[in-house]
Amino acid sequence: MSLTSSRRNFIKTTALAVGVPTFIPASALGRDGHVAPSNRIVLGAIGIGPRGRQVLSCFLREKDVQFVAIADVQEDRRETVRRMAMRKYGTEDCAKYNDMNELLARDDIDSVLICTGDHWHALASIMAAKAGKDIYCEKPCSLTIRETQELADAIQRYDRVFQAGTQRRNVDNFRFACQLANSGKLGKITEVHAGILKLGESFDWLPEEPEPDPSVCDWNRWLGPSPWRPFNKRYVQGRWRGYYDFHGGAALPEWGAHTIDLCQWAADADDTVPVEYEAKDDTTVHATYASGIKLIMRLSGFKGEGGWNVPGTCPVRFEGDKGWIEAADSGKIATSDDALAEGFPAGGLAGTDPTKHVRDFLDCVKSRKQPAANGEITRRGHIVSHAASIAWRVGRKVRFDPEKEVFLDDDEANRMCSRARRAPWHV
Amino acid sequence: MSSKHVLSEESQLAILKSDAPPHEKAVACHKLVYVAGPKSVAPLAAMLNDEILSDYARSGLEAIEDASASQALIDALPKLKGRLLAGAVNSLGVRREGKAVGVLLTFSEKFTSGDDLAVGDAAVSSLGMIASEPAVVVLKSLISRSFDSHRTAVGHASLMAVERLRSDGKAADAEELLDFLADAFPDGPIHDAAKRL
Repeated sequence: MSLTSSRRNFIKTTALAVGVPTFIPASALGRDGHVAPSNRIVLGAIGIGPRGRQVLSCFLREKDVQFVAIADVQEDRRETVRRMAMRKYGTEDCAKYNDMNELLARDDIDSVLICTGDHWHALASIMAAKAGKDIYCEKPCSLTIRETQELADAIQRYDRVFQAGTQRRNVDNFRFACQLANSGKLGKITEVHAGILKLGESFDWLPEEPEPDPSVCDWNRWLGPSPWRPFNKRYVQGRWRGYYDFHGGAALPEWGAHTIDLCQWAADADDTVPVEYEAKDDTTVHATYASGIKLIMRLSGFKGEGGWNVPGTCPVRFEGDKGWIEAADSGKIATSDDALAEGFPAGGLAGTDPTKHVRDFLDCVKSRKQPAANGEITRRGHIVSHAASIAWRVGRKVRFDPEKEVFLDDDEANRMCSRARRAPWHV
Repeated sequence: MSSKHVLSEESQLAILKSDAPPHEKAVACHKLVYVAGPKSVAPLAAMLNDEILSDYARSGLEAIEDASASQALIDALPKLKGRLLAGAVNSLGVRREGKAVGVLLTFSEKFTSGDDLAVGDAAVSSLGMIASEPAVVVLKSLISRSFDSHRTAVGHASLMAVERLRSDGKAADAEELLDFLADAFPDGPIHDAAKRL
């Protein structure tokens, strides 16, 4: 955390400017359980829609966070967030920007929350890293394998604290399941199962509508690095999912960013990726680690699809030769044997709740330690998602080199690893 | 059913050469990424000056391994301006096209003069991605001659060049560039990265 002298000077000069005597609230002085401004993490947010507001609410609840600015290409979203800040702090101080570069140029901001559409996640994170910010970025964090690599490289290059919004790493039932798999109590792990949505991608364009005034909705900036297409309000209202240009990995990373990430942990494979991938159909992709552990990506859904034993979205299942465990967003677990559930902390968070994940990030901003879903963890987990979707695209078994991060003897698959970015946006 | 419905390069090229609407041509470009070879270079390059389709065409050109794709991008540069020129310049960097360093030097000069920041910025970034010996010479020269945010952008591109040099097995060149950067940027993120990497 860069507790800058400029911020301290601001407090000093502000106090001087208002004269004496003056009323300084206890919160500003760090009394009554509050954190003094000089010890707060100054936060900006980029691209805040409904999910972004959920995550931002978690940040606002933390006493050592001072939220100061929103950058969004839509004025109604900027204003909604500004009002959130106003309700929290009782001031009008939250700055609004259309261009995220203006927010990133502010020296007083330590960290950013990035909740744009997926097509902006990697590039915005890289821009933030270059600007010296720590980053909490919603998932999926990339559209392609190349973007995944560029993102992780930038985080490492600039030594930033990065937390992907794969919050299930910090949700009790999922943690319990992963730790059980790592403990040996399930025996030798043979299969890890990740719930995914049905694979698919659309190249359609929605019907053209008149472009709004950029001060209301800046379509050019909304598109950013994605290739041009005509404006339609449904995209900017959040209905961009499913379109190839905005949603990477044929929808597999949508839940796979979480569930595959957890499988990586359970398979003790956070530092590698499977070496072989094959799509069985639009709902199932099989992969195999060099260790021999099978990664089964199979259908789950919002209505209990897929025959999982545990209720809830984003299910995972870890199988060993002595038992199995499942966990999902309900906060519950299912096990092959009651004894395996011993010590399970019932009543934990739902899988969608990022409260602990946000706290983990903030603690690491202060300590400079690595959070649970750091850049390298994200690199591997996201590569698995993208590699699996590429296997589906090419319709055959593909082999992957975890060290070089390329497909072996498969030019066609390697072509799927990258896309051109619309200028002027680039890394 | 995977998205790979189309297996034939010819069928997609026929769409590009037709008077099909832009959306159909954009989809054809997406499909061509799977199968495009030298035959696709000229039709894709012909779209680089198309405000709507240029970026779709670049995805196709970036995917083609054959050297003719780089040459087509270089040949197109004099005909392009602004955003479209910046895009082609970026694609040359993605392709790590060493033959483009000379022309990128010319464009990177615009960065220092402020004539066309987007093109200059793209050229600097591409030089960092290419990271050949001549590219590194140009980057060092730009750092010595440019100012403020422009100089910072060249510094960031140079850090990328360090990583490329290392992955290319040129560790000594990488170390030399790091020393240069640490001296050229006395503090800030580029200095810190140069000291740490």
